[in-house]
Amino acid sequence: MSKASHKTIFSTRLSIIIFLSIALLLLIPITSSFGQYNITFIDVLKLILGYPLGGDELIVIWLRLRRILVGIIVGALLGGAGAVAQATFRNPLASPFTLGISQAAALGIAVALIIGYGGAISQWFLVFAKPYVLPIAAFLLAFTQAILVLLLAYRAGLSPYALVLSSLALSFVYQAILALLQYLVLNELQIATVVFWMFGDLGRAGNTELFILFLGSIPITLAYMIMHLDLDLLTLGDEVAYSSGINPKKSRFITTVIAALGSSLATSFVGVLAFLCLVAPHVARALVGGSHRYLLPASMLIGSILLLLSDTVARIVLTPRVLPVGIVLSFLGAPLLIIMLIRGAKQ
Amino acid sequence: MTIVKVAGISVYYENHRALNNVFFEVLLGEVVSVVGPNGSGKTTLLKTIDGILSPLKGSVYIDGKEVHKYVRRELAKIVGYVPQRIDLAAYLTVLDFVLTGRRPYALFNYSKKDLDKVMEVLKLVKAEDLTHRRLDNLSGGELQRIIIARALVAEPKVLLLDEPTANLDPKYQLEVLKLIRGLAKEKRVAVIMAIHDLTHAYRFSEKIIMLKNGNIVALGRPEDVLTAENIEKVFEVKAVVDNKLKTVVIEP
Repeated sequence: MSKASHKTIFSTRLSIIIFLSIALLLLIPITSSFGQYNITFIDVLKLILGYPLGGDELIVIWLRLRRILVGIIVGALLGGAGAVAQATFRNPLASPFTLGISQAAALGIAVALIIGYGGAISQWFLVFAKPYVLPIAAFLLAFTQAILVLLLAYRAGLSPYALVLSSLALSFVYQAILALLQYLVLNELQIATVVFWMFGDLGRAGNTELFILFLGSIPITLAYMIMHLDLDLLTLGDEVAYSSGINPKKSRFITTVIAALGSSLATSFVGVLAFLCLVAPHVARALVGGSHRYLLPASMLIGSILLLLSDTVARIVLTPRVLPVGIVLSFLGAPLLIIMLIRGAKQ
Repeated sequence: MTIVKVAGISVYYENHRALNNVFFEVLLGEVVSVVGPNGSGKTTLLKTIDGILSPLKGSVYIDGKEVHKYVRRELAKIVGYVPQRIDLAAYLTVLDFVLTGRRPYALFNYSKKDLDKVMEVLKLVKAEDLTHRRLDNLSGGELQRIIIARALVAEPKVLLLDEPTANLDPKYQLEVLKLIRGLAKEKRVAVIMAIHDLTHAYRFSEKIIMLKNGNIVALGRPEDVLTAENIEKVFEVKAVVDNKLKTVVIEP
């Protein structure tokens, strides 16, 4: 086979990524025209192209667009984090949530509710940081959890096995503390808040949240991409990685931190959407193969597309009620995984 | 020219001694087989030469420099290690997999030169028509050729192979061993391989190292090392060695 052959395989993968990008861009005006308030595709295009619009329309379109942009960023962060985590743990069932991030974040929410809403120090807390108490608490606890897992696993040799075991051990501790708080301290409203927060919902992110997500996603995306060569080697095993000139423990440490940062950032603003981390890399792998140079961008794009589609369904399926996207995502994603499993078995 | 010098290494796993005071040298273009029963220290020896394990006593020198004084990435350009088992990540094509062997040369991405090298090596191991195949669709012999190709794209001077013919049928065993010997002769690569088949060791290597319990029992040319007495001492089986046909037959 000639030199042209390797170009063909790379250009096919690149074409798939370009196709996914175009599909995502087209989905922005299409999905924003769906919803309770009647807005056409043309109205959305008008806004994007800078035409003047009426006040009500402008507000509704912006609310929808904001939700869509949050979905795109969160989907990309989680899709990428999933691909990174699966290589890091050398396990196709792993995700950054394997680290116990969701339980830690939920505990963060519970703690914030106790000290921020109704505790002795609630007055100043409410004044200074009310809208951000929950996301900040969730992010801090989630990321602290990831670091604790790494420290614990480091003592045990930082193998994928050690990472999974220390995550499990710690997340049980968080679950126990959360259960204890729910039983003894939280009132019904606070418990409902924790439960609702766990569902995952794009609607709770406002303009500032969108801005923070956008700023945070830039360095995290760059970090995902910079690590692509090491991620390929990590999937081949530590000995191969080491004899190819990288330190697998150091690389695993860095990639775990990056995946934890990405998923903690996304989780702190929109809640737990763990399923996306699992399903997006699987779909991406079936499309562009296992090389992380292509797998990472494809997984991010598919994460965004899946979340956007799920959120649109969540907004229209029970109008006027809007479902939390996490529920719809599981309903849409699970059959996708099952189809892939059956197709894989047939092959 | 001496490329590998193993100078009196002793390696321990916790309290267990895996290698004891091992000395030998390997020249460029030479094929050296390491034979011995399971647990005799073959894999430990290969891993210590590649710096994956550290000796408690003694040192390994590659191209005149102590292994642990190399920057890892630089060592990876000189020594290629093919372990007994590789985790074959699903969905990687042959091209993707072999390209990862160029990691020591790549900073953020693989260059055109890296790709050209991969295609050149795939041609060398007669696997250019496998370029787009997925690893999990390859036969045992094809896979072994690809795994060796991955080690070769880094253009190493030393190739360490841990049982390269394990799990292969006789035809593929010969194919892989001929490839290895060809590389040593044409590319002047020093090959050190752990191997169980004594006849293959006899026919395909210039030098044999016979290990038992981490000690070198015999070292030298195949006809001097693979004697019925040595084989009985090390493997605890009776063998008939035919020096004309270069065969070793284990008696039942």
